[in-house]
Amino acid sequence: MDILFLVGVIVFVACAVLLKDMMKAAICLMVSSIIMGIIFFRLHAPYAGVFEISVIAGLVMVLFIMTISLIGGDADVKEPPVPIAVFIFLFLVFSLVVALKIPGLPIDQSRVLPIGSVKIGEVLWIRRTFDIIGQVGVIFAGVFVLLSVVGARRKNGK
Amino acid sequence: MFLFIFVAIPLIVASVMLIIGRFSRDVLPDFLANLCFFLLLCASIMISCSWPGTGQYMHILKWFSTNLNIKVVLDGLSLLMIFTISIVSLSVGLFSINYMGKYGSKSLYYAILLVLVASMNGIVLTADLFTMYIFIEAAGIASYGLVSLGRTRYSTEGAFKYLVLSAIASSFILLGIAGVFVNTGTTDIRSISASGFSSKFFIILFLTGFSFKCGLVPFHTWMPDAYTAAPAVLPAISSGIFVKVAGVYTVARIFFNALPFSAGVSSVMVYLGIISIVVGALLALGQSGLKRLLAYSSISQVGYIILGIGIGTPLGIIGGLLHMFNHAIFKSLLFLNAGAVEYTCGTDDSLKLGGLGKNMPFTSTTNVIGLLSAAGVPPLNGFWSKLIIVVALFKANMFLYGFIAILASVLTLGYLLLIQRRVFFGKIKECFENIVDVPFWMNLSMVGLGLVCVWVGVSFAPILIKWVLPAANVLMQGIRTSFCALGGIL
Amino acid sequence: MVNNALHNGLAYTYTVFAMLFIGFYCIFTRRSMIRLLIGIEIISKAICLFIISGSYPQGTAVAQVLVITVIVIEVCVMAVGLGLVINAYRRSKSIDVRDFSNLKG
Repeated sequence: MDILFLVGVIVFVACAVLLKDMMKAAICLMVSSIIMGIIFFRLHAPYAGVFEISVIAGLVMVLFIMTISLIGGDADVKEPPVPIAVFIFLFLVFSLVVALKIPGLPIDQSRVLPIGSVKIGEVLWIRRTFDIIGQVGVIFAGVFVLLSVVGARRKNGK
Repeated sequence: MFLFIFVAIPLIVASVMLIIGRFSRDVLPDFLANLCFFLLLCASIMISCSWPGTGQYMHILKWFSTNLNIKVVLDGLSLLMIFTISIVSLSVGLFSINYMGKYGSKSLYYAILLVLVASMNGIVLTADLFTMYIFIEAAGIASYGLVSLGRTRYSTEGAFKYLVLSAIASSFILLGIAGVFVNTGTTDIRSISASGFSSKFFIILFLTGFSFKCGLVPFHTWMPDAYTAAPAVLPAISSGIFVKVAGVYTVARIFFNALPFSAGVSSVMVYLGIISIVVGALLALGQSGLKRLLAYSSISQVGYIILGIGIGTPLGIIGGLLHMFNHAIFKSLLFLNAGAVEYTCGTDDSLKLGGLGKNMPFTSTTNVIGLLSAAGVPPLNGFWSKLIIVVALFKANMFLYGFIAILASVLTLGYLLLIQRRVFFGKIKECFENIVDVPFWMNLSMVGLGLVCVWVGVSFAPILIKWVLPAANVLMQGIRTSFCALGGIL
Repeated sequence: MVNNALHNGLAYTYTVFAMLFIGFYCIFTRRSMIRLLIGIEIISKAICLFIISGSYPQGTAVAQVLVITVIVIEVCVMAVGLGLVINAYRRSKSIDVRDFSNLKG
């Protein structure tokens, strides 16, 4: 079951890269986000799953689709003629390398993490409060930069 | 509480900046932002004065008597960075009073600049790798915004290219942090160091990511494009401090304090440094645009810093850190000079300019100081740091690299003098005959930075003892070598 | 709930690397600005999966907090990136990076 989800994510992500129609690509990315949310949920990470579905599959995709429809027909840029076979070939080679190398990677499944059954709110607000400040900084930066970028456009349009 | 103001005050001022911009177009935003930068500079000097020289300040904020656990940590290295950030941001702030007038809304610009400064302070004041990553991203987003302020087609494209390459770099860094987290269960630098975790794969990820952020060859391509397209304040603050905070500082933190500093890391850093020094200097030779030339020169100078730190000996680290401070000062100065030239003449292409020195005496003089300092001519500040790096190279038996470093320094002098002659000396072109010198605040900030260059060059021992030695001590703790013997060289 | 053998079989890690590969392939071969942003999005998704699956059997609270933060950052980067795309399109009627004429690196 979980294998199916993982394969689904890979397939939809690959479609998001390879499909010519930009709108279809964005929708493929959205579907892969939703599947990813389900995977997170099955890995006992419900909050991360909810965020993945609501924010990435919801908000970011709305932004993508808005941009694509604003730009209209010019969104489908003619890509260089790299045949899909090249992609599949590279992908297979890469998979082989990874399959050979993964056991050597230091991703240890048997260690014991120190934090056990802590509530997520406590971690977010009590243990990692500085991160919240950082997020405020990121959001401020994003808002101000968007304002300046969009403002420039308006001035240009006049 | 006191340390936390370095992050909190700029963020608070940035949040009210847009509302203030409704009431007052220029005066209030100028005043508030520069007051904020000035306060931070005063605070950093105050902390330096009361600094015992070793150990670290750690504050854990309390809020309604619950532990909020905003752990703000300041040690010698952070202090050096905070001090550098404060100086450069104040001079950039003063410079933009006159300079940013034609680039749209000033309050918006100051808001972005303040978020950038707050994020850089956050990067150096945290002891947690993941928090560091968040602030790197925040500062990155603010930088894209400043690039796109150029209001031309190229600035949008430069900003986008910067965004994509920077996102690749961030993903390398984040992957490295995630790997450390998955393996040790923590992102706190001290706990990581205590756990003794080390892995070649993640070290490579970190090195690649931070080489992008530093703009080291072969990961440098974003730098010239972004800097050329942006208003000159962005390269001044980005090459001056952001590259150092997000690249050099974090590399030093991770490889000296969190992960063990191995011989492999050392040699990779030395190679990257040498390649950047040579390639950056050679590429700078062929440029005629001032900002583009200075961008390549930055690549070369950051190479010196990485080279010095990468040697891993006490002397090398001291030289690298001192050069980091010096480069922040003189490269911001040179970029601001380029901005002043662009402000008066409307172009920064040196082939179209000529003989400006007569009408712009301050800009011309400070530019000479900056370029001599960059080339390492005694007695200016760049000389001492390059000297220490070269001596460290010879002491570590890397004679070839030492000679390359000296030759590249001569090359630097060559191309910068060439530019100086083309732009400021010689006969004035008739289209620029009746230009006037830049306004007061721009001159003030350039002269201030020039004075710092001279002051550090003439009396570099106090700077070394007060700021650089404690910072180097912090890094040396990571390689656990006795550092007491070094007192002898002063 | 989740098959433990699957977990030790490193299928998740393989998926992470596959997604990283697809993301980088996208960034290095595609020419549309929007497509580049999709590539960045894919890479960050892969890293989120890595954090969650890598810390699965024990505590996931911290891992979830990290992932949530990464997602927030991602939203801001995407918003700014798409704003730049629209801006570039208004200026030059093209979102093809090959038309970035003045960027020589």
